[in-house]
Parts: sequence; C-alpha cells; structure tokens
Amino acid sequence: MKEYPGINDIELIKLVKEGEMPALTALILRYEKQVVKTVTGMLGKCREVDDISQETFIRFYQSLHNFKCQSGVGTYITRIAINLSLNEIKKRKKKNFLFSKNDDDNILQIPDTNLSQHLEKNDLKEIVNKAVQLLEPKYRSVIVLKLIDGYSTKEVTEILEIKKSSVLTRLSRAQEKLRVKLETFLEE
Amino acid sequence: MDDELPEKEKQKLDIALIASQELQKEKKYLLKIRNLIKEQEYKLFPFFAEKVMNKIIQLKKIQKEYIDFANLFLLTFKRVSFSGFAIFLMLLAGFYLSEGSLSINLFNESFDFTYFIYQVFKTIKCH
Repeated sequence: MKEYPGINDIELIKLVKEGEMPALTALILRYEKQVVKTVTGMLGKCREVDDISQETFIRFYQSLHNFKCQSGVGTYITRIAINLSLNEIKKRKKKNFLFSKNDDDNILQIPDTNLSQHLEKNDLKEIVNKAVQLLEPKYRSVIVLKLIDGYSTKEVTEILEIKKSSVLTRLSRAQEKLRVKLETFLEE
Repeated sequence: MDDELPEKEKQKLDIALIASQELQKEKKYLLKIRNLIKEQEYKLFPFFAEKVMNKIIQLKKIQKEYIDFANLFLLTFKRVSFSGFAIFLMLLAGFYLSEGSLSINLFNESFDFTYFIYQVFKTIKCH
C-alpha cells in the first residue's frame, strides 16, 4: 500500500481529485486512528463505531469537491465524524423512545469488584467512559474534541461551527456535570 | 489548564488557587477526570482502509451505472421526441395543404379524422 511519505494532505487531496485512488487510501490511513477515537468517544465502545468511521471517510470522499483548503483536513474529517455520530445518537434516542427502554442505563453503577475496596484504574476508566456517554450530545462533543482528541478551543469552534464563548461554556458545564457524577468515585 | 488563558487571567487564577483550598480541590478533580478521559481506549478495526476503499469503488460503480442509464434514457428520449415532433410537423403540413388553413375552427365542424389522414397521405404522395 502506497503511503506517500513527504506529501502533505492538500497535495494528496489534489491527487485524489485527479483520480489517483491510492492517495485516498493514504489519507484514510493517516486519519483512521483519529476518526475511530472521536467516534468511540461519542458513541462508546459499540459495533456502530466501525460503520460510522467508514461512513465518515465515504462522506469525506463524496464531499471532496466542497473542500476548501482553508480548514485542515483533520478538522474537516472530524467535523464529518462528529455530525454522523450526532445523527447516530438521535437515531438511538428515537429507537429507545419507540421501544421505551427504561432509564436504568442513566444511573452510574459501581462495577462488581470484590478485589479491593478501592476501584481499580480500569474500572474507573470504565465509569468515566460511561459518565461521558451520559452527557447530552452537545456537551459530549466538546469533551471529546477538547479532552480526547486534544483540539484547541479555536479548532473546536471550527468543527462544531459555534462561538468560542459557547465552546467554553459547554466545556465548563460538561466538566461540572462530570465532576458531580464522578465525585463519589474520585474521592480518595 | 489548557494554556489558552491570557497572562493576566492566568495570574488571577494562580492567585485564586493559592488562596482557596476549595478551588485547589476542584482543580485536582478536574485534572483527574481529564486524565482519565484522555486515557480512554479505542479499538482499531482490521483492514479498515481496504473496507472503506471497497465501498467507495462499489459506490463509484453504481454511480457510473446510474449515469450511463440516465445518458441512454436522455438519448432515447431525444430521438423519440425529435421523430415525434417531425411527424407532428408533417401532419400539420399535410393538414395545411389539404385544407388550405390551419384554423382551429375547422375542428369544430364535423371533423373526419380518417379522411384527414387519407388526405395527408395523398398530399405526401403527390409531393
């Protein structure tokens, strides 16, 4: 598989537009990890992550003619991944509403552990992951972009197409919600 | 915490942090949560790029088939419409030559279509 070392993303996109498909494979390999990370952050570990991640790159390819080189390729792909994840969350919500799933899932529970009274780090990670999944999608997206993907506030404003003040407010509220939810688990 | 604060605000925050134990505790919590979130695991899927490329190639194939069908449909439509229009013009010309007018009033009188067609063919034959 050709990896095009030394060729930047914009040049790769030009090649794809000219019909050189291996250049697209190279782009997918470059951003696969990031997209899977974002989608997992948004949806949690589930089988839909693979589908949504694949769909992200298909949409990216289909919208290449709309891509203006002003924003970074990573930011553009992440925006698609976030939007598709938000759609999936909406779908799930509808499905849960139709099949009236009970709200037990919305309560954070301590995993069964009789190893010690203290939670192991992996358990804690699992709890934090669940707490993130319980956040409203608008808060979740900011947490994923800022804390998991490590984007700057400016980049998050570009990806979510919202004001800087909104990003900061959402981040602060999301962290507050997480703090409240996780307070009992994080006390030493 | 993100190193995005202006220097002045950063100083303010540092002073507030030194002064308040409550804030220090909050900062500790937040950093702990942030670290745990950062460490979230994710699983890469085998043959991911290949699967995506296969889907894209498949999509391109379907798109091409669709475009080919649309082109064929347009071509057929053009041909049919051109011949239809030509027949219509010929009928109109025949009608004009046999009746000497294209007035719509002629249709109000008892219009014999079979006779009209006969006249058209006769005219075409004469010419």
